[in-house]
Amino acid sequence: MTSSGWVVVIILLTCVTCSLVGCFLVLRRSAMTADAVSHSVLPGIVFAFWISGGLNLFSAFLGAVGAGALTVGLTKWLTRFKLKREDAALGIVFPALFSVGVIWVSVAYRQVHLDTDAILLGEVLLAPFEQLQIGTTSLGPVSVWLLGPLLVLATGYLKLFQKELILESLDPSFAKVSAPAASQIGSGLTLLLCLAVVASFTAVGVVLAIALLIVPTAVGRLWTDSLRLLIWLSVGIACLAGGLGLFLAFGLNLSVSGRKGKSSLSPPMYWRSILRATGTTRRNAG
Amino acid sequence: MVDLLGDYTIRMVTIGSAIVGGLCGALGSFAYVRRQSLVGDVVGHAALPGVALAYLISQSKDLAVLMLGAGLTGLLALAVSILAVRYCKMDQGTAFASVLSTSFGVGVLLLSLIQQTHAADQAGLDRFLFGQAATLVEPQIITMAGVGTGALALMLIFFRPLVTLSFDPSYSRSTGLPVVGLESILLVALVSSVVVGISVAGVVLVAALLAAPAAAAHRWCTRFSTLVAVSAAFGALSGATGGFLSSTWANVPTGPLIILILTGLVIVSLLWGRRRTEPREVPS
Amino acid sequence: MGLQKLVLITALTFGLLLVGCVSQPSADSIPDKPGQLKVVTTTGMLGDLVERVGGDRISVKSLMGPGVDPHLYQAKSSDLLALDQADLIVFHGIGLEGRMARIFTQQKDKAFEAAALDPSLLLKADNTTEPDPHIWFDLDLWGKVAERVTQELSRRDPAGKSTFEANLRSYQADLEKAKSEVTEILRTIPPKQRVLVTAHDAFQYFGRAYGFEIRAIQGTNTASEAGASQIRTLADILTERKIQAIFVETSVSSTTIGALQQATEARGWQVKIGGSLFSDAMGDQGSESGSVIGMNLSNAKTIAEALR
Repeated sequence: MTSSGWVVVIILLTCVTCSLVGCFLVLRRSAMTADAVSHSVLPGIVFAFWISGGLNLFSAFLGAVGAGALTVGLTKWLTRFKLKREDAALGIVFPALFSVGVIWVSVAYRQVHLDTDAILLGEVLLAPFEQLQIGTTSLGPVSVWLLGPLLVLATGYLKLFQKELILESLDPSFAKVSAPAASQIGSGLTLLLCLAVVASFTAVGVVLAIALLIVPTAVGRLWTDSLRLLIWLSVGIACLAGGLGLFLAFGLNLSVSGRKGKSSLSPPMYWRSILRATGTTRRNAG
Repeated sequence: MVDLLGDYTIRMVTIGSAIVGGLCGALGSFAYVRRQSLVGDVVGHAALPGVALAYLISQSKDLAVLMLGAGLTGLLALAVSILAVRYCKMDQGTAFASVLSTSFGVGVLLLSLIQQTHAADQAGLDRFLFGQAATLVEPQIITMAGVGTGALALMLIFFRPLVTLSFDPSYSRSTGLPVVGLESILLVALVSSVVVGISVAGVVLVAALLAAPAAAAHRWCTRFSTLVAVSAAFGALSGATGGFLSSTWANVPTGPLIILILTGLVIVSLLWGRRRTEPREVPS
Repeated sequence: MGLQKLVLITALTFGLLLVGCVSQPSADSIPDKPGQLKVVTTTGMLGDLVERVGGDRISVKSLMGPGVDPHLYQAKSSDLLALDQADLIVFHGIGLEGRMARIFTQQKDKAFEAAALDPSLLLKADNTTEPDPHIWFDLDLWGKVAERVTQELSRRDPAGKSTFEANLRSYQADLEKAKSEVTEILRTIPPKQRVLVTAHDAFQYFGRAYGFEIRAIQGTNTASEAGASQIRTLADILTERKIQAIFVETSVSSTTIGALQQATEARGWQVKIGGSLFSDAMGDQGSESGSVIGMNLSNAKTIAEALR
């Protein structure tokens, strides 16, 4: 397959995975977690670098997922026992972790090319060239191998525990009584979320990943109150926007996901199409 | 100590950080009681298209112009997300996250346009978003102090109605307070403090400058007006300490150090603070 | 249920349609003449080098055009086609391109790391094992890079071997000449003034080649941040030694340098901003500074003018 073909596959995989997981994220009213994780992965990557003593995409990935899980865990703990406010808890936890990362880098690795970009600034146009190799044979892009199994895992998990997850998102106290395992299942979702978020960061970059997690569901929510329909709608919207964006990007020769700044990354064309979709739906709903 | 404060860089960094910390602390307490502590994050990201537009229109990298652009788009983004919450049955986090990623995407699109047309001249536009307290100079501090005084003045002039609005919106509406006007004033003040904060701490850390001082102060007082004062004091104190310490320790960046000091304050307050109740307008 | 199926079918068709559309390479993005070797380089500096060595026997496209900083490079869809069609990809390596380099090292049959010289020749970044990639400021080393590229081109196109080697000789002679010119230009600077202060650490090789002390506010790692203490240290040095000027870089923001100037002024020493230097990117194509030799000469003139 040509690399352009792989780009389409990677984009569609990301769209489906993100919108699927994002549905439950929005349902649990913790959409901002996605943005928080995008900043707080930094110390995780630095930690991985320190432990493994060198550049290594695999350990950086694990470090990032770990830092993401730590963010969610700390926020949950603060919200439940100390602050009683999720927004403030999140607003304290992720800048603190990010600060630790920046100070660590500035003091210890000032001159080292740490390659935080490798996790945060995914570039979908280059993703096809990063092949998974065993021995000398190439087995296709790493991103496909990351996102594909993840999509299967996510679909299976969400399908299997759908009832508990919905219950836990909508009425946590009732869930505790009626389904004792609900909170563990919720934590499983958190881990799944961190995996999906970090994997999409490496494939398409931070901003596009956040957008694909939240916006399709937010738009779909304006159309329907039924959860089943919402899931289908958001997956459909994500694919449509992704496809349209890609089409325009290839047509106009623009970059698909920008490579800019510390944690900033985005897909101009997607954005336009999603914006347009949001605009029309809002009008219809309002 | 006095000798060290005589040093230009230390003086500028310490004063600048203290101003920003105090300002964000004071207005952050409003965001805190309204459960909107993450506005800093939203406005911070929405500042990018503003900075790009301001540069495209004015063709200058003057700090005041860029701040104005950032403020305007920040205000727009915040207004859109608040309207989305009110009229589109969206929850706040979802609205914030949608607006944040959308506006940042537009910003990157604009920046890549600028990069294609204005090759070398545009260097450092995105630097505005990272904030480098270490590079504060006098004219910058004067601009910041100006904007900050304006925001604080707005807050103080309309203090009573703003407090009523934040604690009991439906009551305010029934008593005939100009709710929309008051809300706009509060948003303008909040956005100005965030924009000033960005130039010191950067987009990511300004979220904590708004959220952390109020969360820490909340443990020490019940009355809201005290909360505002204590929160401002915490903010200014961490700003000054962070600015001062980072000027004397090698290689430690200023912004992140301020945030870690603030986080320390929050931890201490959560462990040993006295109050466990919600803040009130007046003590009961 | 009807809507769900509809959505699924639409999405799938759309996706398949897209795979179909974009899989066909459309416009040819590398100038294509029969028999020519198609070469894609990452930086403009390497593009300049390959063009000099390859001459008419190759066609070159640089992904990062003139004036584009490697850190700020954004891939475009035409770049994707170029990479697909290239016979040879020449990349800088030793850490300059970050993540992109890892992609290239996987494509061993197609990609070639130009700057992978003998490690003993390279400077290490600040007590680490990572090499400093900014070697285009040492024209001798740049000549060695040209040698490596010549060997690689000859391997790919054996018929052109003699042409490439002749081109290499003329290029190396030019580099030699440029180096003595730069030395000549810099000779006017008194030894006490030979301190180059810039915003980011890109001029270590320049310092080694021409006997300058190099001081930078920020390290090379983009995730690190300037601390106030560095600015103070540098301001002290500038004041103590009465250094005339500090420099901005074309591809880096000037705010940090501005703050340093203010801090020095407060210590009672007027340091001026000596002009802007080319660090990670060359000037516009066709202009004097649009080649490696040109950017080195232009930097030397700027520095000599300011520190004299």
